[in-house]
Amino acid sequence: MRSRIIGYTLVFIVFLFFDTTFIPFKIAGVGTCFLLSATVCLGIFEKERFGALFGLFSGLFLDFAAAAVFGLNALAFMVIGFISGVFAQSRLSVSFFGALLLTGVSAALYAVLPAVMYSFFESQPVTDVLLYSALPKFALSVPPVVITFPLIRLLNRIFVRREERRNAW
Amino acid sequence: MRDFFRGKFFMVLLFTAAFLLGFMLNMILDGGVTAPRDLIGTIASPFASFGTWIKNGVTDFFETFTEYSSLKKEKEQLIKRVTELETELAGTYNEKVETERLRALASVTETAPELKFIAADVVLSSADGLGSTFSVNKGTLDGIQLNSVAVAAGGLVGKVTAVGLNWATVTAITDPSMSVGATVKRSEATGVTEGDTALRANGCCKLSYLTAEASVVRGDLVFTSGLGGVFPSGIYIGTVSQIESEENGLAQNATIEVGADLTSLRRIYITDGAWNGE
Repeated sequence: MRSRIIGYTLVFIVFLFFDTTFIPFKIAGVGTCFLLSATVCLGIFEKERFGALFGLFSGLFLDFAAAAVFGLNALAFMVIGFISGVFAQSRLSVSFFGALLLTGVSAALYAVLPAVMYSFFESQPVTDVLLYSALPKFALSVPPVVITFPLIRLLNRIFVRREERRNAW
Repeated sequence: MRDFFRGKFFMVLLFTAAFLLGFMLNMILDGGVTAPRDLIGTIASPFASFGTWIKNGVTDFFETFTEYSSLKKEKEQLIKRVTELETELAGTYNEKVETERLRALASVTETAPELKFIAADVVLSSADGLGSTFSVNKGTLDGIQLNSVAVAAGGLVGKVTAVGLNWATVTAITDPSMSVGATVKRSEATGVTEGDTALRANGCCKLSYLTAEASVVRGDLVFTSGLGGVFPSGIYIGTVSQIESEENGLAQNATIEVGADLTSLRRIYITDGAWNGE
């Protein structure tokens, strides 16, 4: 369990660095979001507890960086991580397309709901907010699953094998 | 599955969700910094500074290679720039105004001599497209307060909207929640700059509440007027790039290209304490 926590904490730090500081790619001021797909993949591979915890911490730090309504990302990511874990156990097979589908749905909700709320509270035209925020956010949240899925699957396999070996001894 | 929903973890999860909802409601209704945000900020700020230091190091390292290969291209650009500058020199009036602008930028302290500026590094910037905010590595321990004014080499950046012990969040003037009293230097026409979601993506904001008679043309320089009590007067905001009359013909709006390059800020200067409007 300890190695699992250390491993995923490192993944969290690297992706947080890419989402808030390095930001490799931007459209209309909106940067890539690796942490969303990482939360989904972690929920799928490590079940809902890890997914929800990883989502909660990811969201809290993104909230600090974005300074929108503090807690919104934390709540959204926590729920996404939890639901991914529950879905992976009961509805979806653990596959890339399953992760892609869940990331797509999560990204759509993650992009559209805060945008609509923001448009309401800041009296900005909904079309502008959707065009300049929600659309780029969706477009930059789904593709990172290509990197996060294999990475978390690899880590999960390493940790599972290690535990199997330890149990065999 | 039913057992899980009755389990301890699910209860903790529900409890956390309720807490987060409470903080969100508190922030929407009252504003300000909630305790968890301050805690996260205090913990994250040194790590964010370290991350930015690594990022700047990596960027600088790779820039030395790209710089070498792009020397030829840069030379052509410089020749083009020199030609442009020679053309600009011909317009003596603009030159004079430009000098005034630079003087105002260099000595904002003259406008408000009681203000002292603190240099702060930008460690995080929002990339969610909903607002324009930056987190910096200085906070109340360094003298920064809520509503402290932030400027950069290019002009006004924004104001501090949240502050913790060793961190502060600066909301840029392009953020839709921001409005700044402004004046057009050439004609003394006054208005208010407002953030706009569509313009923000291009590093611009809107200059509203200009009367139909106000003389505003493309290229006019816009400064803070000091009205509103948050921003001292005489800080450069940007240049007018577009003017539109409202349909009823009673007012006109302008688009301002913000002087400070908000996309690549590394260091900004924040006033030690908020300006008291005097």
